[in-house]
Amino acid sequence: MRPLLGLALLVLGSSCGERIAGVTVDVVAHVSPLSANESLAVDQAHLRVSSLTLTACEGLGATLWRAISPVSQAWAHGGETQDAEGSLEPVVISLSEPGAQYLGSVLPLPGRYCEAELVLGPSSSRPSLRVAGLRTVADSAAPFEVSTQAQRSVRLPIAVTLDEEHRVAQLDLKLGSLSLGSNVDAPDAAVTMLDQLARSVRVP
Amino acid sequence: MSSRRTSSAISLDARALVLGAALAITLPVSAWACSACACGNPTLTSMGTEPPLAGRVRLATSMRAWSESETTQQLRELRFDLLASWSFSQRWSVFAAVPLQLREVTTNTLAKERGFGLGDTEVQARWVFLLDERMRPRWVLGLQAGLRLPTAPTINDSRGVALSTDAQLGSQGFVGLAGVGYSGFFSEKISAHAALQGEAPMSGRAQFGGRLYLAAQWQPWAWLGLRAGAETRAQAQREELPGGFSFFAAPDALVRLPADITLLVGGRIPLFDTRAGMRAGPMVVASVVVDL
Repeated sequence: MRPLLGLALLVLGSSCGERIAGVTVDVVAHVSPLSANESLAVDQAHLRVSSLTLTACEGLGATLWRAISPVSQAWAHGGETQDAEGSLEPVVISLSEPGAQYLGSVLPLPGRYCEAELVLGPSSSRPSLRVAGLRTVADSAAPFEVSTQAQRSVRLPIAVTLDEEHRVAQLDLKLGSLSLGSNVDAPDAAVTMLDQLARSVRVP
Repeated sequence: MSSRRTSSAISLDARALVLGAALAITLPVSAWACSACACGNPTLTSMGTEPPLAGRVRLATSMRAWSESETTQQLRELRFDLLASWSFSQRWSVFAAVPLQLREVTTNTLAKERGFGLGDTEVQARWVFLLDERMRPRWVLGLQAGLRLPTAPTINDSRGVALSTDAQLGSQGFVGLAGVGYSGFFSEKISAHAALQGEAPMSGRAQFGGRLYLAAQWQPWAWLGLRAGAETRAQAQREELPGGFSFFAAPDALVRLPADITLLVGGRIPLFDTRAGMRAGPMVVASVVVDL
């Protein structure tokens, strides 16, 4: 009787708790080395990501109905991430440091996601693209920088599934090289570079 | 000659019969009363619905599995209660319930919190103030009053950080309980039960609320009782917690096992819920009651 009573008291006196994180998408940018003219040198280059939002796949029923329906319809994209934390926080990518850079985590709702929208844009204190410390090697003139406040949006096809069995996913974004040519000091050079980078983003 | 022998034999048999009867009456033998029968009432009863019987001690263990959904999260709980009641007179009983709970909260992002441990203990007293005074009571009306005690500890995760409020096992305060219960025993096969109970928090995060339970029981055989019931739960709004009513169908089955053990298996099937953004899920109930 005493062992049973002791066991009962032990069980009643025990308490424990645990936390399990929700589904998460880790976003990693793979930066290619800068491609600069031999006569050019650059200290640093930064690209600002305003946001990255995941868009859920359309259901099969909705896709089939859209395919067979005789009535022309305008279809909005499938439900975007509803959670307030379903978008990446603004982050700056260092283009002068080639390799993998962790950008942050997105905390969407469980489901299947087929598209990501990447927005490259400025903030009140930071341009969307800034290339600093530019100088001609053979020239002793002071370094200069180019930057732009333009914003570009890129839609990328992805395949991410989040559920009880797949709680963490990684989204890799590959950025092409930033090319710095002899026209780097042109008035619209920064915008051109931003366009070039936006077109180069791929999901491997 | 033969008639004299017959007369002697009859006389001897009669004396033996009388002596045997006297011995049977006077010699002490073990007599086992069937407390579940309560002096001739064979109705199977669950904890708290039994007719009064002075000196009755009942022990029970019960299991409840239930769930509840909100807009952004789901709450599930598996709960074991150890219950004991003692009727120290025909009209007075005391009752205690000690719960052991496993609770899980899952958000819409599949983040989970799990807590396990002792819940809030309940102690109550029951006074049968109206009783059909026949040998076998046909109806019983009693008042109950008690307290739910904040015995549940604060549940922390592995880093020592407290889980969210919804994942905690208790209300972290005292809750007053009061109610009235009725049991009617119309025949050996038909009975009815009703209970109305209110809850009033004195501290902590519990809400004002109440519960109304109505059930009719049919006992086709002595060992099997079938109940068809309905249950309504009410909650008053408190801060961000919505108020409203939940309605359930409450079917139960009672089975008498050997050694004064009664098994109850049942469920609570949600019919509709008026609380904004909340929906009660089904509940499975099972208990074993032992009459000592």
